[in-house]
Amino acid sequence: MEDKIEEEIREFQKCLKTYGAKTFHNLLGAFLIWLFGNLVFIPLASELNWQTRVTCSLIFFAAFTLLVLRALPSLKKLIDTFSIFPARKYGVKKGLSYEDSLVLFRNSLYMASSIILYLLYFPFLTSFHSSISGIFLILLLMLILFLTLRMLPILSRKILDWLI
Amino acid sequence: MNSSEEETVGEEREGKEKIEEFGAEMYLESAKALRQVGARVALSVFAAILIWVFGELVFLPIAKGMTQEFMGYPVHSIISFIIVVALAIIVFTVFVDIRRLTSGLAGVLAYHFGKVSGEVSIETYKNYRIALDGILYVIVVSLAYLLFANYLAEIHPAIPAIVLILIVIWGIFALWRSCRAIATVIGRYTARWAEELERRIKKT
Repeated sequence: MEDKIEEEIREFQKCLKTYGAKTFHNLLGAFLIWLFGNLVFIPLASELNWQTRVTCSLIFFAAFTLLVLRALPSLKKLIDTFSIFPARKYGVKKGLSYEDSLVLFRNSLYMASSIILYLLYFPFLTSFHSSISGIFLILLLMLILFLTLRMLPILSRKILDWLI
Repeated sequence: MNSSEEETVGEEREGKEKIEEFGAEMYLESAKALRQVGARVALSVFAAILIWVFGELVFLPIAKGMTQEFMGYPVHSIISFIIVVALAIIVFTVFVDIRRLTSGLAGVLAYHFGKVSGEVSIETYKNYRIALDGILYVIVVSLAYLLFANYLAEIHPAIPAIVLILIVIWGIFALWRSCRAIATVIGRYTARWAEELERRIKKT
């Protein structure tokens, strides 16, 4: 067991060395573009006419998406390997098995990052049309439901223990 | 204390002295830049705002009241064009001066971050400078656009939209370049963090 954990920590270390800077670079770029787009340029374009607003939103949306897509695979790897730390620290303490707590924390981190991603996309989507953000919200809820279903068997045992 | 420990303590002290020296130099450099360029930038910005105010409140209303045309162009379009050229010249000088200010500021930033991480290098200084340049340029260009937008719309309603779209495309590339500069610094931090992690694994 200890050997396995050590191996996983080593994997995280390797992941951090290989993908850390690249992921931070892409995410930082996406965030800067988001900030300037939503706080400076899209309000400026909105003052001119709706066509300019939509064009500017589309350009920022494309740049933001490009950077997020570049960051996503490495971010997933980082989340996968990072989740061993909270799993080891909190999950095992709460009486969960290491594998179960790993699944729990991994899926929780997926959920948190997808919610953050949706919130970042929200201003772009509403500037196109409010129904587009609605469609994406439905997709996000479906993803959350799917992730919760994965976590439910682990949590249900814990909830039953707590209730009875 | 054995000789090797003494050596490391000596090296650390030397490193700290170097950082302090770099910091003092950068503070002096930025103070010098601020003294030389600061007043000029403030005056240029003030002049640009004054031209904008006079154009918006005095010259354009007068020109719009005129029905005559000059070589087939309405007078208010010609007045707007003249004001745009004057503003462009002023903004360009501000751009040149800002570069000097950012180099000093980047030095101060490199010093403060270097104090935390324990190392300062010319490469980090250059990276901070590129990052600051990019972000400040995007901010200055978007502020300058606010000055130009109304006058450009007087010449032709499509011009401000086209200019804004061009600025947006340029802004994305400028911000990307800034991020790349910061990323090299971040990369160093993540590598150090990974090394620290390795050291802890070995200890346990």
